[in-house]
Amino acid sequence: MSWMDFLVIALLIVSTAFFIVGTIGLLRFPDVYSRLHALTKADNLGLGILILALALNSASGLVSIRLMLTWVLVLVATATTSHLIARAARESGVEPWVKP
Amino acid sequence: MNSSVTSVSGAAPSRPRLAIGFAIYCVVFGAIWVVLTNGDTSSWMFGIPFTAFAALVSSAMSPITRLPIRPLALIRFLAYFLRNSVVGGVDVALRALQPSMPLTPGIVVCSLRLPTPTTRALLAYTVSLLPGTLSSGLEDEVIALHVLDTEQPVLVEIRRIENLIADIMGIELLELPAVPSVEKTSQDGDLNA
Repeated sequence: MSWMDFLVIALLIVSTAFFIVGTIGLLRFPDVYSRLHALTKADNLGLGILILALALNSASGLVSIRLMLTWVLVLVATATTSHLIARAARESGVEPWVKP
Repeated sequence: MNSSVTSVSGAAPSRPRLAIGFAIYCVVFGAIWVVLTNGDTSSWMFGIPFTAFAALVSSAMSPITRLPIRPLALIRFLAYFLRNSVVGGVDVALRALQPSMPLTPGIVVCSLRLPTPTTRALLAYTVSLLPGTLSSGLEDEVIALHVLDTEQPVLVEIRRIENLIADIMGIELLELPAVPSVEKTSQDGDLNA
């Protein structure tokens, strides 16, 4: 295996770790708003690192551009849905959890 | 240079401007389609109608009112965004993993200085993906943010993102009201801004 393979594998492991931690946050955080934080931030970073690993692995310009584009589109979709969920929660009167 | 500001007062952009905006959306969305489908011509049967539909909806909901985007400012914005995506992911990961789970969440409401709906929407998108902030409502120039840690200088970041976005578009920021309409619910203590 070349050093590039090791780099790709390391990045894949790190990205998986962020997805797992995002899920831990989703389960542990106290209310809908905090849980959205856990999902949006951790998963986007995890996906970004995953995309970086796949782009390095593909070593093809067009494939890399397509992967980057996928990341950007997912970012836009994530930001939109999390905003809509948070807004719907506020409008239906869900009080944010406050530290006791 | 201030033509975009007119759209704030409700005046619709002129017909030629709308047509140019629609054409720009068509080109951008068409390019996205071609890249995603690897240039497969048989996919255009779906690609062309959906591209046109998306461009129509986009130019109806957020018409392009000015074109010149400053590339250097865009690169500065992307650098800021990438750096803070990493910070945001690590920050939320550490909070989730610590047994004590340090959270002091609350809602922060603040007025924005960005003059157009499109730039405000861009700011709402950006803050949702950055450390500790999540947009949970955008009503005209007032944004409601859910923050994970009310001790963090949230407003400083908002002002910084506003400056970055205004730089990309080359637009002037609006003056804030003399008394900043900042109100914090759910938490006591001072905002560091």
